[in-house]
Amino acid sequence: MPVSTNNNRTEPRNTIFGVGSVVILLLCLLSFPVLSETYVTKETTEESPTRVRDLSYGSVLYEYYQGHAFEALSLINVAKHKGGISGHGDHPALVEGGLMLSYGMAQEAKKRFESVLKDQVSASHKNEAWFYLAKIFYLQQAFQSSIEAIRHVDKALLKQDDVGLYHDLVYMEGEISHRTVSMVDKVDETLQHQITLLDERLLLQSYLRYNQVVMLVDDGNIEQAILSLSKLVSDLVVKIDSWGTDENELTELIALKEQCLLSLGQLYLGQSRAQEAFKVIAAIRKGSVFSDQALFSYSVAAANLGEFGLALSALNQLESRPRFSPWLRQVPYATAYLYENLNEPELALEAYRIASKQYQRYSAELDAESQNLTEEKILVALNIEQTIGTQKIQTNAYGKLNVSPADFGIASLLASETFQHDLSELHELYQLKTSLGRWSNQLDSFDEMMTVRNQLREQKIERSVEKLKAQNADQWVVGQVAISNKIDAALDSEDVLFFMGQEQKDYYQRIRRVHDNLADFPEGDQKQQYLEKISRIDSYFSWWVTDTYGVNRWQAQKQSNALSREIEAFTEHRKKLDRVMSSNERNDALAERITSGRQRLTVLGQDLDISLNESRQRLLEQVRTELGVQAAETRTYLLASREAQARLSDALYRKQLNHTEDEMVGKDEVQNNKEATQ
Amino acid sequence: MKNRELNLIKVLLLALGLLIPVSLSAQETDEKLVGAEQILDPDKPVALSVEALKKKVIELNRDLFILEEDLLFPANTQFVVYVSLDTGKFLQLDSIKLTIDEEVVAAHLYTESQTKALHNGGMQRLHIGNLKSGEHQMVVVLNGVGPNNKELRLASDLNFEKGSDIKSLEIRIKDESSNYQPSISIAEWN
Repeated sequence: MPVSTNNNRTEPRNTIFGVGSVVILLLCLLSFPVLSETYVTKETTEESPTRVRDLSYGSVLYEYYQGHAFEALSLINVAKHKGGISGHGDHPALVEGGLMLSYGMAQEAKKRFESVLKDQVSASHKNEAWFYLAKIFYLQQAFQSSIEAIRHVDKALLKQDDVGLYHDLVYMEGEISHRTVSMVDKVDETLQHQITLLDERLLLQSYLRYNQVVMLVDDGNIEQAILSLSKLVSDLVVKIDSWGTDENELTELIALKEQCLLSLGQLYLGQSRAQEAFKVIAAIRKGSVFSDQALFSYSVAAANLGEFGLALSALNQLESRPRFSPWLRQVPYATAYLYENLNEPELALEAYRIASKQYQRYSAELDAESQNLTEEKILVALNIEQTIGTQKIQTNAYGKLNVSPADFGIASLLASETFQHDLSELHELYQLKTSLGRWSNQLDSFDEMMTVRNQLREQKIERSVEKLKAQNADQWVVGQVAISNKIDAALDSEDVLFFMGQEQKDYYQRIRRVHDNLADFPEGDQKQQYLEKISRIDSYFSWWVTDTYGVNRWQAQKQSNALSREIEAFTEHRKKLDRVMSSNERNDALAERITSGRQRLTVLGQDLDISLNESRQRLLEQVRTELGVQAAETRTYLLASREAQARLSDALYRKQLNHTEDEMVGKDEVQNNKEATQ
Repeated sequence: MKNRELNLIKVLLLALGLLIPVSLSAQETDEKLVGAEQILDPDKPVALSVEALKKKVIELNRDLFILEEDLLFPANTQFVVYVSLDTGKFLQLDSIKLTIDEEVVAAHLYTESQTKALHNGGMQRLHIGNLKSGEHQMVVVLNGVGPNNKELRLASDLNFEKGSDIKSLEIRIKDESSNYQPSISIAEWN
């Protein structure tokens, strides 16, 4: 954002000390810890958590509190698919909205919060939903809508429920007033109020104080701005000295302190207080993100103090830095200008000559860079070529990337909301691409699983068929039918003998054998006796069989019925088995789901490639525009260096010419005098 | 030519601190706002808005998640174990080991963010697997640092019956206010 795309300018930009732009840069660079405070605060201030009443919701929260938005969103969707989350009212909807916001789905998140507001929910949930809506509007820079949403927030309740969100709200209000109210006094009043609402230990409060200084500068109240900034710097120093273990926030504090020092030094320079400027700028670290600007300011301060050696040394150090930074563009010209002001025209001429050559080279390099610009080069400059699309890059609660550029020059582009947005989008698209690759592998493994399942099924079928064969199942059925028919026939003919029990059958056989033996027996008294005896036995046996006929018949029928049932169950089971063996419904359904997943994956992959290409082009276009602006500036410097070179050469030539003429005149005079004397 | 040079010198004078810098001009600010609103416009015609893509991706991930469960862990044999931490003031959780029927099925070393997530009320799905219907035994052992920075080792076991539905168990770690010590128990979910 601070980098204007106005190409009509003919002068090199005064990119130095753009306080407003740096504020935005800082906010973009340092937004992660600020916005992530929600999580941090929750840890320390929440009451003992209420036990979850739904296991799936517990899993969602586990991912949510680790900042794994995508995983948590997927789990919420799984839970919804399986019947929803029970026992937690509208809280899951709020969590889902927050997750969507974190995953860069602002529009979807907005819908969720709006739907929560339509439902009958607790005052706390409603309050939170209004807060998030305000935040979404704020992020979309729809400030009036954001103000409207903030009006619905019960601040006391929000503070009580979640102090982190409350701090965020106060900061947001300060920011909105800064950007929307045109009357400086009114903004200052609002900002001052917001500052007093925040604990001085909070980083957010320091940001608001810095923004207040920016407003004072805008208003021309430089003395007050210097006082406020000095106080802020000393407060930050105390805060840094007593800071705890949070490395991220400490880095952020140090960066803010150095930004304040730089701004303070620039304000001092503007007030011709070079000594004070020199002192504060010297306190900025060499490795700071602001070191280039600080070094240049240092040289300015040194020059104003008459310390030209130090000034030149600082400029020479800047000369050795990578050229991408727009801050460095003015260095060769400034060096020559410094020599010129030191009344060293020969050195200045040489410096302008060198500057011309450098600008010529820079210009050619910038043109080549613009033509050969690739996405990879941008990612290298941002130091994310290895990490883009991975979870190694941290994002804040609103999806913005936390990037520390390798090339500080690109920091000015990084400060632009548009660039940040496109960069985050590119990162997210790469993440999606990685996910797609992972799912493709997953589907491949599902395919393998299905193959194994089908193979196992075939093997089972083979074994079952063999077992059935071994059982001679068909013969059993035939046998059962035959027995059933015999029983029916015996019943019809009332065949008493057919239903005899085992003991009776044994007796019957023995009686038959006796009759057979007697048939071969010689006639006589003994045979007669035996015949009478067997006759009595026959009579008794007949009576016995007749007597037990009912019981025996019932027993036979009972067994026959039981056998029929068994055979029926067996036949049913076998039919089922045949059906299962002939059809593969379950596996087919699973295979169909795999195929469908693969089709969806293919379509998504195509859509993703299109979006990725568009996002990439937008990013390249922005950097090309920036390079174009830099090239135009470089050409202006080139022209100016050449003009200065020509002017100085001319002046030196004239000086030399005058000197020669003077010498000639002197010589003539001496000659004339000699001649006159002679 | 002289004019251009003069302009440049003016710029340099600015650089040399003779003039105080100003913040973004109103025009630049307006350009910035317009630019951002255009970018954030949901109706902006892109191939497929990133939000829509993300929505599709989440749905696909959901379906694959369910498909994976159906393939690997059918409902009639599915067995899941969760871990929860109630307050956790008396325990800094380090690791956990889960044994089912004398076989170690899961072991986990906790990161700081994971313990924080548990502390805030999240539940970790420690294990998902398959179990046959019938009697089983589960043993859980956890290691951590207790009050006064003493190393702690807690264990609990449970004999349970696996039926034909999904079986879910929860390992509950909580603080005992009676003796200022952490305790562990296993609860069955229906």
